[in-house]
This record gives sequence, C-alpha cells and structure tokens, in this order.
Amino acid sequence: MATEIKLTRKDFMSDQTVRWCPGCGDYAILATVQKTFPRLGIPKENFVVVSGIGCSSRFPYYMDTYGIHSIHGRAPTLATGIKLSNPELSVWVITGDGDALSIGGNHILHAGRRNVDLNILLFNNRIYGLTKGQLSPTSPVGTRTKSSPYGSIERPLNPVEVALASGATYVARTIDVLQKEMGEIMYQGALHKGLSFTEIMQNCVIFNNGAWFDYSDRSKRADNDLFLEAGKPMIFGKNKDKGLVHSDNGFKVVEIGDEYSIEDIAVHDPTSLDNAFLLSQLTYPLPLGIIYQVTKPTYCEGMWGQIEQVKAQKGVGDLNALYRSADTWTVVEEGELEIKAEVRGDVESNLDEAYVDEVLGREPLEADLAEQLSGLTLYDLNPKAPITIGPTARMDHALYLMREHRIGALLVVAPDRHLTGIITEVDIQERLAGTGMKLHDVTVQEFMTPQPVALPLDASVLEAVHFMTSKRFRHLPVVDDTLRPVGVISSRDLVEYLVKHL
Amino acid sequence: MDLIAGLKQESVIKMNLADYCTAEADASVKDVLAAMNAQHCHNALILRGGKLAGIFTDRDVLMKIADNPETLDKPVSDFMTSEVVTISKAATAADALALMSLKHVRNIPVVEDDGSIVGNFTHFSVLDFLAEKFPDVTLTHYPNSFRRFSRRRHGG
Ligand SMILES: Cc1ncc(C[n+]2csc(CCOP(=O)(O)OP(=O)(O)O)c2C)c(N)n1
Ligand code: SF4
Ligand SMILES: [Mg+2]
Repeated sequence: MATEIKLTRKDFMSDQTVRWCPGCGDYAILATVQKTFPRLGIPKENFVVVSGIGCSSRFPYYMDTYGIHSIHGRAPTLATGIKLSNPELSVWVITGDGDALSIGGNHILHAGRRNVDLNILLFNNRIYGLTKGQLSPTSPVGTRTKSSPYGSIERPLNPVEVALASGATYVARTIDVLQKEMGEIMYQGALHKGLSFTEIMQNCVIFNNGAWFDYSDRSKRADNDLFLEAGKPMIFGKNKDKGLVHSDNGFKVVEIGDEYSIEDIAVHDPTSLDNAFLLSQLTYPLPLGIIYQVTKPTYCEGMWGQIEQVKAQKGVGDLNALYRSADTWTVVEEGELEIKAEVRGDVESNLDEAYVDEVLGREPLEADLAEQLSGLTLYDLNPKAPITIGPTARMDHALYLMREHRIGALLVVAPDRHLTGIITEVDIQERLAGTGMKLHDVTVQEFMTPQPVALPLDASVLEAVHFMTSKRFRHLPVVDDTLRPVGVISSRDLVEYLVKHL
Repeated sequence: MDLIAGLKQESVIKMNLADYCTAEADASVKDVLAAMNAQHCHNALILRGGKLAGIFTDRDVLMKIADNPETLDKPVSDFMTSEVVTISKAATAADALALMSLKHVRNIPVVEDDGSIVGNFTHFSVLDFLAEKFPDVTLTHYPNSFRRFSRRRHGG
C-alpha cells in the first residue's frame, strides 16, 4: 500500500548559503520550485536537479535533492542519461540563456526532438550573468555589453520558438515575479509526459536590470501580458477589453467593443503547433502560460520498449560476448616494405671518383652498426631517474641536492610536474661561483636555464648523440608525452651503453 | 665492426680531444675560475714547475667552491684532485675509455712522452668519433622527436 508522501518547502531547502546577488530573480524561482516539488507527491529521493554553468546553474546546491552542477551546456545530456537509466526519477534541468542556447544549443535541440521526459527550466535574463555581463543569444539587437561595445548586431533567438522547432511537447513561458503562475506551470510541466520546456523571464539586477520590465512591472503587466488559458478567448488589458483575432498574417490585436465582440476573439488551442508558433512571435501582448502541449511517445518509452521487445525475441544480451563477436581483429606487426627501384643510366660516372672509391671501400660492417644504432631508442638505454626540484626552491637547496646525489644536472619541474628548466654544474661554474651570489636569496627559477632541450623516450639514440656532439650538452632530460621528466641521460651513460651494445 | 673494435683501431691522439686550460698550482681559485670561464673550459690542468700536478673541474667547483666565498682567495691546489689519471698518446681510444671507467673519471689528459699535454680525452671524444663515422645519421640527421620540443631552445 502506497503511503501518502507529505513534504514541505523546508524539505527541499539545503543548508548552502545562496550566493546570488541581492534582488536577483533567481531567488523567486528557487522558492517556487521548492514550493512546487512537495505538491507532486514524489518521494524526495526521486528528484534530481541537473544544471550547466552560470549563475542560474548554481541552483542544485540550494535544493536538498540529488543534483549535478555539470558541464557548460551539457545538462540535458546528463539528465537524459539519468532519466533513461532510471525512468522513476523526476529529472529537472536548470539552465540559462547562455548555457542553453550558446554552448548548449545543440543539446537542447536533441532533448526536444527525442522528447525525453525531462523538465527544462531556462532562466532567461538575456545576458551572461556569471561572467559579468556579456551578450547572450537572447540579447536584443543593439544591446551594449562588454563584448558588444557598439551594440549587438546579432538577431536574438526566441527560446519558445526554438523549443517548438525542436519538437518539445510542452512549451511554456512565465516571469520570475509571477510566483503563483510560475508554480502552476512547473506543476503542469512535471505532470506532462515528455519534455517540458519553460522559459522563465528572469531579472539580472546587476548586469541587465529591467530587461523584462515592460512585462514584469506591476504598472505594465496588465496591459502587456496575455495569460493563456486552454479553450478560453485570448483577451488581455487592464479592463480585459483587448484580444487577439486571426488575421491574414498571424494574430492581430483588437479592442473589444463596437467592431469586435468577445465571440470574435481567437480561442487558445495549446495542441495547435501553428497557433503556438504564431504566439511565439508576439511581443505585444506577451503570451504567458502553456503555449503548446501535446502527447507523443517519449524517449524512455521508445528505448525501454525496444529493449524489452528485442529481449523477448533474442533473449537477454551478453555484453562480453558482443564485444568479442564480429568485427574484431588482431593487429599484426607489418614486415619491412620491400622497395623496388630501378636505376637507369650511368650514375657512378657523375660522381667524384675519390668519393666512389671511399664508398666502395667502406667496411660493410659499418653499415650494420649504423642500422643497429638507428634502431635503438632512449627507452633501450633505460635512463636514470631524474632528480628534480621546484622552481621556487632556493639555490642553496639545489646545491645540496646536487652534492647529495653527486649529479651534474638537476631538472626543474613546475607544480604540474612538467619540465621547465635545468641547472647543471656548468651553469654553477660559469654563473654562480665567484659572483658573490647569496645562494639563499636566489630562487631556482631565477638561475635555471629555462625550457631545455628534452627528448621523448622513443627518440632514437642517434638524436641524443646529435645533441651531445653538436651542442655539447653533457645531460639530456628525457620526458613523457606531457613533458614530464622520466629520466636524464649523461654523455657518460650514453657512451657506456653504446660501447656495451654496439 | 663493433664500436669497441673501432676504438681499438683508433689512436687516442686521432680522437677529438677537449680543450682545457692550465693554471699554476699556487694561483687563486678566483683566478683559475676566471681563466676557465674566459676560455669556456670546464676543467683546468694544474701545473707545478711545468709538470702536471692536479686537475680542477666544474665538479670541484660544485662540490667545494660554489657556496664558500672564502675559498676564492685560496690556492687552487687546496681543492684540485692531485692524482691525475693520464694516458700516453701512444694508447688507443679503447684504452682511454677503459681507463675512464676503471678510474671513474670524466677527463683523461693525453700526454706526450716528455709529459707535455696534448689534449683532454672525454666522453665527447667517443661520441664525436661515432658521429664522424656516421655523419649521415648523427650530425646531419635531423632529430625528429625533438621537433615536438622545438620551442625549447637552451641546453643542459
Ligand atoms: C566551456 C566553457 N565556456 C565558457 C565558460 C564561461 N561561462 C561561464 S557561465 C557562461 C554563460 C552563462 O550565461 P547564462 O547561461 O545565461 O547564465 P546566467 O549566469 O546568466 O544565469 C559562460 C560563457 C565556461 N565556464 N565554460
Ligand atoms: S549576476 Fe545577475 S543573474 Fe547572476 S546572481 Fe547577480 S543578479 Fe542574478
Ligand atoms: Mg543568462
């Protein structure tokens, strides 16, 4: 027997300090979500709140539910995975206009067309709040921001229109100041099977204050906002004396009176996509409420249905067997390519005779040696482990290490452990001894040779010979792919190895 | 031919011997250092009465001088290695190399019968020998792997 679940707003308030600016519209949205969740009769542990990046995306911290503050723009993808793996959950996506429509534009579209059973709340403040006020994809043409100092030249996206185009099956719009209406829209969205998408017009009091005043301010709301109700005529205005009628190109605003009666006013049909698109275009009045709602198969139903069906036909799958089934192959090392070349004409006669004699007279074994040499890598040489020091250490410590280990070269590594410099006994002879330098006052990074030549482990031994003979380096650091030192070779190491192995 | 066989055939004076500088045993450490730096040498052969009395290298500087300013005015003979391993110019490069690992030294002065110095045998002598034998694969061989690090200019 299912017991009734009794939760209150308090159950959804976390112990985290809310870090939005005083007066930010996000507070009202948070409060509304916390009031709406208890109404849903869902166990607390079945709520998941997933967000991307932005001020708005800090939301999950403030909800005492499971949640993920995820990757910029990717909240819908994580949420899709969560919902798919456990369809019992009530999954909420919190995103901003930047998060959802700039970097996350692609993910929003796919969540829509798949009709994943998620509840997306898009906080639209027409600005990047978190990064301190740059243009967002919903900022109007002409908006001056730090990233558009002479006014935006980009036409903005309309979130409702984008959601409709993507195939979302529930598309609504509300404003942060309208807590009651907002709560109802969230509630209906949660009940909706399939993707519910709600644009919440939100005021960023710091970087875009008043972006929605025409619709949110008490003095203007009644005149400019159209509260949609399914099956009801679309009327608005302080005295409910204006309405929408169909015209050749969309909706037309008319006064209810002599010319038009209430009977002439168009009725809101949330199941009509045409109607929804037309409404999405209006800015006067601004349609608020559920703009579009239809029922279509959800992604989870489709996916789980398919899985059950295939299981019934083919039995339960075996992942391991699948991995090892067709389309796998073993890569075998290829032999040397045989090069077939043809030499025409008399090549030798054009060459210097002495040189030809020398070449012909060369001990053939030398060629063997060359070949052997070119096959050897520093890996074969098994370089000694490097002795390292940090760049901010003092030179007296460097000296101590070199003496203690009786080594002629010390590798300097940055905090992320990549090679950034080298100190050798040659440097100490040439630039330190006799200069009166106070070792304790000098840091390693001030003294070192920055960014020394380094070789990877798979470098040919010949490359080491090259650098040692041509540059007279007595020590060469050996590094891995991320430039972290894995060894050091000295001219002595190299010679001893070569003598032993060649 | 292996490398050792090649070195056995090569007389030590045919090898590329390193530069060295000389100083008198009673010269101050400061002066010897100045001479080494001026001549870009990393070792000084120390003479007393025209005869080789010791060797003073960058390793000695590291171990004994670097953080002791009071050593600078003392005679270099206090800090040099007096037992110098030398080799006759009649020896082969292989002999020199064997001596090097036997005595665990990095510099072997090559001397004439009368004791005068010809040059300094080091590990670079062997590497140069190899490089000259195979100029195509060592000296002119463009180091491929290094390309990845080509921003890194200076050496160690
Ligand atoms: C991959 C990546 N790119 C860029 C950013 C910088 N960044 C952080 S938040 C943000 C935009 C936030 O805008 P919005 O989604 O509207 O959230 P708001 O702060 O307005 O609520 C950007 C571009 C980032 N954090 N990560
Ligand atoms: S910057 Fe704007 S959106 Fe972000 S917390 Fe402050 S008021 Fe809210
Ligand atoms: Mg924003």
